[in-house]
Formats: sequence, C-alpha cells, structure tokens
Amino acid sequence: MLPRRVLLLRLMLAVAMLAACAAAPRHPIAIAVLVDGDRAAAPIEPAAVAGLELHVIELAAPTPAESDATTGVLARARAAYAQGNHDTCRTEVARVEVPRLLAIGNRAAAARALTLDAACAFQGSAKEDARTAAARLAGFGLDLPADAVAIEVEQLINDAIEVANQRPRARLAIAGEPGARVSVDGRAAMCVAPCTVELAPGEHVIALEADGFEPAWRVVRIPDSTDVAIAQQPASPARASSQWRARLGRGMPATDTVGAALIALAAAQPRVAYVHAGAQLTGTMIVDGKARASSSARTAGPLVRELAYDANILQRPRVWQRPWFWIAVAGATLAVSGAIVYVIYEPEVQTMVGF
Amino acid sequence: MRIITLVIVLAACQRSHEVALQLGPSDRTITAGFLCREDGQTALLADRALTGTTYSFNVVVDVIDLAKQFPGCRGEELVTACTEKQCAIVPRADGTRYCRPVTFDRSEILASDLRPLLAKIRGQLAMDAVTLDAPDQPVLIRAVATTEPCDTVPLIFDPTQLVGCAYSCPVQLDAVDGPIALSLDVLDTDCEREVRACAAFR
Repeated sequence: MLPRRVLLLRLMLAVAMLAACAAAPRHPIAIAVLVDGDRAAAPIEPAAVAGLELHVIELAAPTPAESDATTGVLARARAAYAQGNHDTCRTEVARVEVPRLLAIGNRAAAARALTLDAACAFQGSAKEDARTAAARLAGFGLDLPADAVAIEVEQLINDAIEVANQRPRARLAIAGEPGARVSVDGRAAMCVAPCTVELAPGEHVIALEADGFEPAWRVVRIPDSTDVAIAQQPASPARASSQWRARLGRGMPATDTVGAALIALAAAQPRVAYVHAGAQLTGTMIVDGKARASSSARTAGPLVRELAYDANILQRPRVWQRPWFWIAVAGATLAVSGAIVYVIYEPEVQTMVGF
Repeated sequence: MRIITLVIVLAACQRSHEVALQLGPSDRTITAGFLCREDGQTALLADRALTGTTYSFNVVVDVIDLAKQFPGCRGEELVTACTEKQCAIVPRADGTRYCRPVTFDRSEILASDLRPLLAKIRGQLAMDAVTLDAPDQPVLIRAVATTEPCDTVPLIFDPTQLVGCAYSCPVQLDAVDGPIALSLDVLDTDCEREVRACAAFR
C-alpha cells in the first residue's frame, strides 16, 4: 500500500497533466504555412505547435505569358512572307488567335499578325482577304507595325484605318464581376465593370480581369451588340499566385481582404498562416479566404500558435491548463509553506544542566 | 528518503543550550542551606560528613517536574502547587539520578575567601552532567547533600544523614539564560528543619 500522501500527490499530478493536455485537440489541425521573405529566419517544424500539423508551402509559379508561342509563329510567317511563300505565310498566320492576343493585351503581336495576314493575302492575290484583315486591324484600333511590308499593303491598311476612324461609334454596356478591370481590344483599364464604352462598328474584344478570378474575354460586334455580360471563373492556384505577387509588386498589402483571398486560392488550403520574415516575424492567419488574426513574434512556432488561438482554430488554454500556472502554484505553495514553517517552527532546544 | 532528509534538516536546526548551577547566590558564597546547624545544637549538619579533618558527602541533584505549573519560589507556593498536581522527579535518560561525591579537607575552608573551595567542589560536581536534555516545561532543581551512598540514592532521604539542601525557583530550563542559583529560604543557620523539608520535597 502506498502512503496516502504519495497517492494524493500522484492524483494531483495526474489532474494537472490532464488539465494541461485538455487544450490540445485529439486530432491535429492541418495548417499551411506560407513564409515570405527570409525563410531561414523562420524555421518551422511540422510538430512545432501542439494540436497543429504545420506544413510549409510554396506558391505555384506564375503562368508563362501566352504570347510566347505566338512569337515563334509570327517569326515563321514573317520568314515565309520574305521568301515569297505566301501560302505558308497565311497558314502560319491563321494559327494566330488575334482575339486572344488582344485579350491578354498584346496589341503589338495582334497588329503584326493582321498586317502579315493582309500582306500575304495581298501578295497571294487574295485581295478581298487582305482588305478584311486590314479592316480588322483598323477596327481594333491597332497601329501599323514597323515591320516592312509592301507599300501597297501599307496603303491598304492606312486607308482602312482612315475609314474606321470616320465611322460613328455605338455604346456597349459591359457587365461582369464588380470591380473587374475592363480592357477593350487590348487597351488596358478602359473602365471598371459594370461600365459602358463607346466603340466603332465592327469586331471588338472585351476582356475582364479581376483578382481572384481567371481572366475572361468575349468578341462582340458593334452595333449588333449593345451589352455583354462576361462571367469569370475562380482563379487557379497559379493564377492567384501571379495576381498576389503582382499586387505586392504594386505595393499593395500582402494580407488585406483581396490579398488574403488570393493567398487562400493560391495555397488551395482552408487554413493558411502567412508569415513575413522581415526585421521581426509578423503573421496573419487566413481562414476560408479571410484574414482572421494578425500577430508578431520572435520565432515562427509561437507566432503560428498565437495566430491559431486568435483565429479560434485552437482553443486558448485556460489558466490552469498552462504549465506556468502549476509552476506558480507550486512556487507559491512552497513560499507559503516556508513562511508558515519559518513563523511557527521552534527548533528543539537541547539543554544540558550541570555545574 | 525524503523523511530522512527532513529529519536531517530539522536536526540541523536543533539548538544546544547549557545551564550552569550555582550552590549559592553568587560564585563567592555558599548557600545557607549547606551551613545549617542541628536543631538545638551548635554542631553544623555538615559535621555529619566530617571524618577526621576530611569532609566527605554526596550531592544528589534532582530535576523535579512541576506538572506544567509555574508557582512562586516560596515554600508554601511550591507545596501548594505539588499538592494540587503530581510533581515528580525526572530521572536522567539512562534512568539514574545525579549523585556525585564531594571531598575536601577542613583546612581548605577559608572564611575570608570561599572561592577556592567552591571551585574545588564545582570541579568535582562537574564530572557529570545533571541532565543532557532537560524537559521543556516548568521544573525545579534541588541539590541535597547527604552521607548516604550514591549507589542506592533513596527516594526519601534519611534525615539523620542530611548535610544540606538548596533548590531553585521554578524555571523553564530551555529558556534560561545565565546560571541558576540554588539556595534555601532561611534567615539564620538554625535551619535543620528547612533542610529536612527541602530534602523531602517531591
């Protein structure tokens, strides 16, 4: 049989340990940690915080520019035109999606493609096709590129531009994600959706771009269309990553409302701890695309833990569930016991009596 | 292990204390209780210990437990206290009572200066401690000089063999600071009766 005092002591110890463990959830909660800045300054172990399973993530690489492939096509078409191989030239140019080039704002490539199309058609005795290409170039408001083409082709294009400039314009109402940036025929930031623009008759490319969404575009014909509604899909992780980096490049906050939403999309995780390792570690806990808590600390582990507490991902342990509480209680008990003993204890006196 | 540690710690806190007994009001005088005359006689009680020119007697020192009472020093107060409650002699740790022989020559008694004689007597009595661990409660200390032998220290002393007697005021020995004087509450040397009463007290 153990002495009663020992049993009592062990019981108290067990209660203290149970109380201390009560704050940790049974199954660890997964948190993605995105470290921005000096990663070496914020080393994070997966089990750095009790109750959380941390895994450091990296944002997807930005998507390559879509015009990269077009450059090669146009180079081949240009070479074929220079060699007088007009059919080959037209075949190559036909592979170029001019509306797509305009949608991504590459007006120069679109102008080159249409100019080559007109030149190769003109030299290939397809005069009507050449006029159509010139009219499209003029309708999109593109300038004649510096590339050398036959003087007759230049004249054809200049005439088309002159005609296009003289035609009356019509209104087009554009609807889409509120706040989306609208570009028309590759001209950026024409307006912010929803908005109305005045366009010359003919084919036009309306493109919308908004943070958190994939870009979207449509071709409309003026004056046949008086309004257009363009739906955008949520951004892919790579797109969101590009948009978030672009915002940072423009000096925007990393974790404001839009920034937090972009990080969530880019990470494709419901819970993301964004840690910026600068002069000191600062962090923001993003839950379901919204910034829920911000804090700063000297090391990453405690920072993520505080963020998890503040964002209610983890329940902050109560006073008696913290180790220092029991240390303090033990210390206070010892101090009080010591004081009591000091006050009431009278040492035994051994008195020797003699002559 | 923890209990042993605690005992060691507490033992380290134990305080040693020594109390010296004095056979008179000062270290230069001897108590009247050792200078009493026999009733109606001129002879001193001390003469009972005289053989030739040598005085030889035994000194029995008892620690008497006053049953947690703290009466005054007067005989009446002591008797009353020990009538109401049971006072008792506290034996030493080994169960014995303090008893030491004292011997000196008559020539050593110098009325002008008793200090050498007192020092000699003290030296003989100091060969043993009255007690090594006095009780932490009110006690009285009594010294009885008798010609009865030490090997059979009686509970009731033979009045005809008494040489002298003296006692202290009630005292708590653990709290005493300084020597304790043993004396007899008499005004002259006709005090055999008081010596008997002193030796019979318990």
